[in-house]
Amino acid sequence: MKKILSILVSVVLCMGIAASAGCGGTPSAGEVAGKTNITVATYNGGVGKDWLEDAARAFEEQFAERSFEDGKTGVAVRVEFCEGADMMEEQNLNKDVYFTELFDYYTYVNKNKVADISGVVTTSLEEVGEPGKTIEGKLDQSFVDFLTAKDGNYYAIPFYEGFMGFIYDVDVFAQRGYFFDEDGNFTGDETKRSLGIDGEKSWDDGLPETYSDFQRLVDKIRGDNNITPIIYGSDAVGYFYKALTNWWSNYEGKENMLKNWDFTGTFDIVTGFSGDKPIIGQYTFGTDIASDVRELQKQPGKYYALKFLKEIVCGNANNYESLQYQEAQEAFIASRVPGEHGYAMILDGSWWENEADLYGAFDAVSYIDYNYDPSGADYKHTRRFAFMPIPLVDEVAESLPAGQTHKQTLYSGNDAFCFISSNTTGAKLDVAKLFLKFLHTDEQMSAFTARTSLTRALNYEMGDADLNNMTYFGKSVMEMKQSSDIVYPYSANDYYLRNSSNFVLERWGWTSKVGGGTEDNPFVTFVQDANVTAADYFRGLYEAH
Amino acid sequence: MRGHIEEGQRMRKIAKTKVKRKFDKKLLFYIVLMAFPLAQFAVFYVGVNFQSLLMAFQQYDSFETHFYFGNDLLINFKRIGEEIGSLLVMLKNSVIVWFFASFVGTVIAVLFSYYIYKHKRLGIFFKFVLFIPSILPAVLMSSIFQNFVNNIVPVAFDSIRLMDMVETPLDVQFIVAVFYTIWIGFGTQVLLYTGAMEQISPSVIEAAELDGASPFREFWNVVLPSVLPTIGTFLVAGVAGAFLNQVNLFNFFGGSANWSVRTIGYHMFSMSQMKGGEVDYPFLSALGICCTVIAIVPTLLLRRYFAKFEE
Repeated sequence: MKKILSILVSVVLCMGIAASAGCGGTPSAGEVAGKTNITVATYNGGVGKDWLEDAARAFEEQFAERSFEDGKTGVAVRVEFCEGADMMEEQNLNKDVYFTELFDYYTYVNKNKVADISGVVTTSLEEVGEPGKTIEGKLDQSFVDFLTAKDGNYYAIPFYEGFMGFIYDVDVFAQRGYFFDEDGNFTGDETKRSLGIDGEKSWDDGLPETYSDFQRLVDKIRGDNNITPIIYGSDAVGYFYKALTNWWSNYEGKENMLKNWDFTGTFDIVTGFSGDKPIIGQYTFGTDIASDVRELQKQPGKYYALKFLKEIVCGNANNYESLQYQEAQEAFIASRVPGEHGYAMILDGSWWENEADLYGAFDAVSYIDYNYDPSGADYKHTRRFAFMPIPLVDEVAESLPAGQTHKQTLYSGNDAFCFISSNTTGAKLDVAKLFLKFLHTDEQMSAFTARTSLTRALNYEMGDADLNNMTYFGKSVMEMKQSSDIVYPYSANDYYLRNSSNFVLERWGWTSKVGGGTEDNPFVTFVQDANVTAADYFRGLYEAH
Repeated sequence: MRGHIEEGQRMRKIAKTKVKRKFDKKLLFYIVLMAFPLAQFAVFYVGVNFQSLLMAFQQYDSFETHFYFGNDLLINFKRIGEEIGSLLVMLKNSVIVWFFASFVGTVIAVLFSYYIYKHKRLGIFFKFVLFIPSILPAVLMSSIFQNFVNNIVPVAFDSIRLMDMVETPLDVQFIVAVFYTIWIGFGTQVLLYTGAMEQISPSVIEAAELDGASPFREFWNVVLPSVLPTIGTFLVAGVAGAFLNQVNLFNFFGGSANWSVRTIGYHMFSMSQMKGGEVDYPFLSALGICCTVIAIVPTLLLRRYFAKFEE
């Protein structure tokens, strides 16, 4: 009896361990009888799974009458959260479709963990209601080159874009008069806002165009009562170097920025300094790429990004405050509430609004905001937030010919992809492939953006209904995407592919030898050591690589 | 007579069979008992360490996702030379942590264990309270502690946050991390030493008391020599693991702790956890070999020193 009991206990324990193993578990549990079932797992992060539930229901409806296997009609899609985006490699991928981030594409491909979905990517989307278009046609060339570099096949599709930078509270800017008018004066009248960097009425109106403008803005905010210019998550300090990368990209432009991954052609470098002004020269890739890549650390965009951080953001300790990241998001949302300490901007990613909504920050603030009328739209839709455009280096702005405007360049490198597990076969594989196709129609990607305020890393048009349903912030993100060049850190260059781990942002971006030691977060360095200059940190980048 | 012979042969046969069966059972039991630990030792110690040694001379191809021997077999050791400035800072931090955790922590723990052993006031209560951190998950304890020093202490004492990556001065971050490491390991040490003290024969203590030994003399001449082998084991293990100690930095800061407060153990762990961390495995293997070389001499010396007390 004891033996039987101990065996039973062991079996139960083993099953418990298997069931609790993140994305593991038995896929057959809870399947809908009479239909072909698939399970979709998505990373439990800022994107959430509501959008996927919506898409799954729409997919089930569209293919309710189609049979994919004998004796079954229709499809059933079950959506689950998957803990630990970067841990899936360790596990048996027994869900059918995955949406994740921090995805190491070639590790998965080489271990045969992902199914070949070339057919999904390259054939027409007619079957899912979008004739004449393919997923491949919606992909940026960097993705096409990188994803097909091994054998010409696709094994994953890019998921969402992660832009990072300053997000400002439009309501607070209007209340307190932080917009710029055409004469460069501050105003709260939104009808008098300047036309911004792009010179036309758009999402960047009334906002700082140059580093000097931004300096004036933070000085003004800092001088006001009960408000701090910037808040950031004390446990998300890494966001600073991702924002820095955006500022760097914006100076370099897409073509020059891509040289950090394709290693070809000629690019600008800083050859020295005259006072604090960098002397700009040029460098051309030769045959010794291993040696040449170091020169990329001298790109002037890096220096100017560091200068912006050091002299403007860190220029005064009262420019910024921090709270634990969820508290920071909630405090930022509460900025317009009378009596609450305000924060004009938050340093965060494009997912912040959806993330804050998922853990109830908007609901929480709605109870203390007496300006809010609960009988109308939900609180999130009544609040106005938007991305701050990246200001231009003053010299660049001054050198622009009259009438010429600057197109913003953004960096998106969160390695978020979706794929089908190689364990999925037969009818489930057919349905999983069809579901991926369905999700990549413009209609579904538009619905994704409307639901999450995030953008997919593909080119697509928003539907009118979705645009009308979006929050102010979501519209600003979409407008920003549509009016910017976007750099995705991928290429098919052989040296890059074989050494891609060395070029992830955490290593390649901002690790510097400065002050006798090594640092990898310029914001922390500048706050901790006031003597370190932007030029010091910039020189150390080359030393460290 | 013939019958006796046959009976004898039959009995011997039975006995032989019995012996054989008995022997087989024992062997089977032994094999079953030893197979798992031996397999585990072979795979997770011999195999892993052998692979680790090889890896120190390899490089990583991110495209083929495999390790290979390149033209320069010493490339990872050369990289250690290039990064020696930062690594020396981490080495210094590791030694400081080891010193405080092993020596200062041990002295306090032994004294406190003696207090509990002597059944002084609230001894059991302290033992329970000190052991609580060892029962709770490390991440939970670190979060509670970080919340306390970042949110409660600044309000209560009008100070800065004591464990904020940006706001807290780096030397304060390091001191707080070391303090936390000693505190969190205190309960385990106290439990070990009180356990060792409980093994001392009461008659020895009684004899000392009858001879009029003061509590200090009793501690110094009777209790301490008796628990020295336990202390020795702890100290030797401490040296061997000096370069593995992360000072709980990963719990506090994830992989982003400032390089100036990093220990070798934390640096190796956080690098391996970084995205694309495989590329650093060969470098970390080479660094691990160097750390082993550094640790091996003091470990053996300390082991030899404490072996005297075991005799």
